[in-house]
Amino acid sequence: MNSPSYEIRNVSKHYGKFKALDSVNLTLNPGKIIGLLGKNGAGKSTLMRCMLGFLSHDGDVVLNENIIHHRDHRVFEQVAFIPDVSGLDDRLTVKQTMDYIKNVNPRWNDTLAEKLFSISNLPINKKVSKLSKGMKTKLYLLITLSLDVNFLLLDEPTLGLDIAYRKEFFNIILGEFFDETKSILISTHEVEEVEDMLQEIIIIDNGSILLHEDVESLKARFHIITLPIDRAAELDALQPKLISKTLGFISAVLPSTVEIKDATYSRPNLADIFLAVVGGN
Amino acid sequence: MKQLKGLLKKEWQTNRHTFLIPLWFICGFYGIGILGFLINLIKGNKMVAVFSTLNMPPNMKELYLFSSSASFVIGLGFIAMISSIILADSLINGGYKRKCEILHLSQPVSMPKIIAAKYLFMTLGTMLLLAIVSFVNSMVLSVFFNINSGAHMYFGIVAWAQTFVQSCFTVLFISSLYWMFAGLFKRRSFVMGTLTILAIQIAIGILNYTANLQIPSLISYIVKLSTVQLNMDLSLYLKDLGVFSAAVEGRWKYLLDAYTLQRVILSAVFFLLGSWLYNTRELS
Repeated sequence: MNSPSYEIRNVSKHYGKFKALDSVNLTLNPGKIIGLLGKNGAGKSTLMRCMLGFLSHDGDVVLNENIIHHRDHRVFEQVAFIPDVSGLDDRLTVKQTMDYIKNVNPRWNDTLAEKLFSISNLPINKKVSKLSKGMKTKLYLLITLSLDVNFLLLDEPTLGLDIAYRKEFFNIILGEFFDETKSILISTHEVEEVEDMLQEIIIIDNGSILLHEDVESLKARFHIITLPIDRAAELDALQPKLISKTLGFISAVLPSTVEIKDATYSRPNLADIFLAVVGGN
Repeated sequence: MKQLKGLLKKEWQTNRHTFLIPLWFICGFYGIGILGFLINLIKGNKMVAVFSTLNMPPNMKELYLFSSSASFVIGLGFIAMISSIILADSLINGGYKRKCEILHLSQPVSMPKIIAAKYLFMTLGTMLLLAIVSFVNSMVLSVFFNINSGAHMYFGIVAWAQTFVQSCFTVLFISSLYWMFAGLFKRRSFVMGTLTILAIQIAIGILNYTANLQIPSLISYIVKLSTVQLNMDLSLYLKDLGVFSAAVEGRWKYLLDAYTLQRVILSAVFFLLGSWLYNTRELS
């Protein structure tokens, strides 16, 4: 059986004169957890919505060799999407929500749903509007992870959730959804929270993909160089995108090939690399 | 089929309060009647009907039954029309307003199926409810008139059948019109749609005045298509039951007239336009 493939070929999206996406090319490989990082308005949500057929666009989105058109429902035979955990229909009860997805989505897996429900403690007859944000998160996860799909797209899914629920959210996804046949694309501002689970990283800025790389090789390509503040000129000369100053020292993320005599070197995290690539403003 | 059933069930679960407005209305009507009856009973008042049918001329009883039954169906049809206008906006824009549109449109269900479920719920669902509620009401009226005055129940039932058919086409027309507006306007579609009609009417008025044209009134036309007319001069039938019966029978052929055809054609156009507008929306 061929591996499922999700390709974005030369996709551009305009809102009037504003170019939200500029000739984006991407391939999502199976068995990967991919982080989509970008500043506000960089084009993360627009890219995801083009991938799902929610927005009309130039270029092609190809899922398992089928071109996905605007409002093409076939995409959801392979892809599940969580935009924001509070995006449930608050007119329905928990049971009605589950029954609804079960009835309309042929990818619904009863065994998986029962397993997830048994560990969720969700009040079955309660209206969604009466659920706490944490409970809504669990319900959204339940109805999404009960689907036998190959791709899971998460667009700032934990926005507004407290730290405990954010942790739980990602733990459930890792534990109950992910395996070597599936891919997850996560767009989030909380880079530190997902850093340990990401295998690939995509950085988008002004609608263009700046970088798409394996996390380990990316981290190996950069290091943090720290110098006493009186040697700031040496760092400035290398023109890093962002310089930070702390307690008499100055540091910047630069390519690993750059070396300065008597400097201190340390390993950057993803947030550091993101700022080094995109800049701080 | 499972998907369509699932969609219809969801529409029922999310819109049933609006959908059932005609039922709440008739329940309220009977509730007030029963309450009045009970209050009179408690006060020890004599149980005298507000109007007595016992001493009416013979033909008057059937006429009363026919017009009462028909009036109730027209009234309920009007209520059903209002509920279908609210439904049109809720079905098309409810998800957007409640920020759950993406959840509903992230399922592998084709757009024609989603649209069919919504439109069937709004039109056929409303008509089915109207049929049940108005039929039960006409039966109650017919039995009441029959017991009290001996009026033949046939006139109550035939009044229901004829007026119900007419009401269905008006509900279809007006709900389809506001379906189109709901597709066009994501927010306040009723107000925006009505303002659009008014704006067109004003433009017609200005054109007629300035260019000396004779463009007919849009509002008059819409009112004509969205109202049920009895097309009977009831006073003519007071003297002869036979003439009245013939007139009632004769009404069948007027139910499917040119205006009915226009209602159906325009409904189809509005439905297609509204569905196209809904389908071409971008989700953000």
